[in-house]
Amino acid sequence: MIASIAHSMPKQRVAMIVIAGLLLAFGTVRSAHAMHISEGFLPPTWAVLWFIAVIPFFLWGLRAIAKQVNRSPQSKITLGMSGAYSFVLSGLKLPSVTGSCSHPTGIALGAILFGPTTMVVLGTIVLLFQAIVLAHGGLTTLGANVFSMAVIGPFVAYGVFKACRGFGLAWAVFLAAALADWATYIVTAGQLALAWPAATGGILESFIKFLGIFSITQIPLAVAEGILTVIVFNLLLQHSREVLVEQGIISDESPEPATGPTAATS
Amino acid sequence: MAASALSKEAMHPFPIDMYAYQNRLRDAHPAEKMLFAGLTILICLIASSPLVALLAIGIVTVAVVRVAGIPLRAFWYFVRLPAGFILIGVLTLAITSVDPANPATLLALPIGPWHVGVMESSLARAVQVASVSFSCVASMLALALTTPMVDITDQLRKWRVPQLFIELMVLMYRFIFVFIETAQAMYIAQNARLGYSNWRRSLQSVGMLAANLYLRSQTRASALFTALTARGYSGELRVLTAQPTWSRRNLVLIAGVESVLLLAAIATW
Repeated sequence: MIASIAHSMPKQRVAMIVIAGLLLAFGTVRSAHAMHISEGFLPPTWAVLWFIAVIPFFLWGLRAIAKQVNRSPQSKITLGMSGAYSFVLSGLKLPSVTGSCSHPTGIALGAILFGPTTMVVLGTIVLLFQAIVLAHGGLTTLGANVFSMAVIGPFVAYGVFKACRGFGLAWAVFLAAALADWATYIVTAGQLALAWPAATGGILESFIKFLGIFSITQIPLAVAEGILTVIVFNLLLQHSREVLVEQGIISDESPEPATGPTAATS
Repeated sequence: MAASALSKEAMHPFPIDMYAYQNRLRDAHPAEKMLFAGLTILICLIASSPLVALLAIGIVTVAVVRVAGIPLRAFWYFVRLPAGFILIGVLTLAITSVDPANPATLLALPIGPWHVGVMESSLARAVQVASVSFSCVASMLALALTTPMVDITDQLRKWRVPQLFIELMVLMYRFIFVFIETAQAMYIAQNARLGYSNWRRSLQSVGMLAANLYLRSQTRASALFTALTARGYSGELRVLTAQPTWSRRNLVLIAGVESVLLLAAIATW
């Protein structure tokens, strides 16, 4: 049937060749950071609108950090280190089931360890560095990427973490990481759909398309990241409980997480 | 083939950063380079025409390869980095729900009660978005490949970006390299002990690496604070900034190529 289409009209043949070429090119590239909207992908109006959307959160975060720094000058150094850690974390290779490597986002871990308002500012710098030093994401799309990855992601992670503490620490960490990833990718799909609605189906059709494409990689990736975050958190609890207590992430009397999603991997 | 030719790029944790320190435009005023990249991106985005985008890619390639002296192969390698996202994105734009009776439908495959395929307009949009996106990526790389991060933070300081933000940038930038070295050493040690022999072990090993790196980063922070306090740190990091000079030749060149691009944009409007 495809063969009959290819022979029917030259116009259609051109379309087939273009699509086949794109598919071929797609097959040869690795999709490392699938959630970063790359430079130039958003039209100017949307690029500007997302910058405006993140300004209040950014100022809120910067003010919170300034207060903290005024109280103790050491916290500036600690924040710088935490930011550098977040960057390196997002560059670690995460083994994926399909054999190819992907990267964790570290959004949830950062939000739980450093707090969501702090993560807005640190995440903005991480995304800026990723754009300039790694060509992941972009400068004009920085606003949109900050909104999905440094605002929505951390706040969802932190909210879920706090809300799910009743299920045990491991589940709270797992759900925070997985749901933050999903929230981030749903927002990214929404941003792309708003910028590029489909000709007939409009924004909704476009949203479903982008969501569908992302879900192939992001659903298993979010689960893997959830498990990874629990492993990291358990190790931190075992080896340096006092650091977490000191920073107010856990209270002193909270029980050790013996069970949870990592029971299978340990 | 590509791996051996680009071994220099593959060895360095941030090959783009490596070129930023060793190119012929290293000492040019950072604001000149920001102006060039910024104007090119702006014109490409607003014109959103494949022809303007192609012209911009040509101009930027000449600037990066001929003026800054960065190898064409390396430049091309970096331009292709975001290709995964761009191509998946435009494929999603090209393939859409179609009405097979419409003469503008190029391809229609029935899936259940619907038809999925390609329309003239969706294909044109995909080509437009991909070309504009690649032109903007190339323009941003023209800045990234020629301007070290320290120059960018110096320039941001002159533009009155909040001091706290700049200081965090400087601290983060410095310690990213330290932590990457630490992470690499840990990875080699783990790998040598079969820490990445299967998927489950890999996940456990990455987890150990991340947890350990967090503790290292916090220890490192308190050590640095002690060292800084011993040298009179009282909450502000004072650094000397370079005093770059404007070059009339560069400004004329930028004005020239940007007007050509602008004219092309107006012509294709």
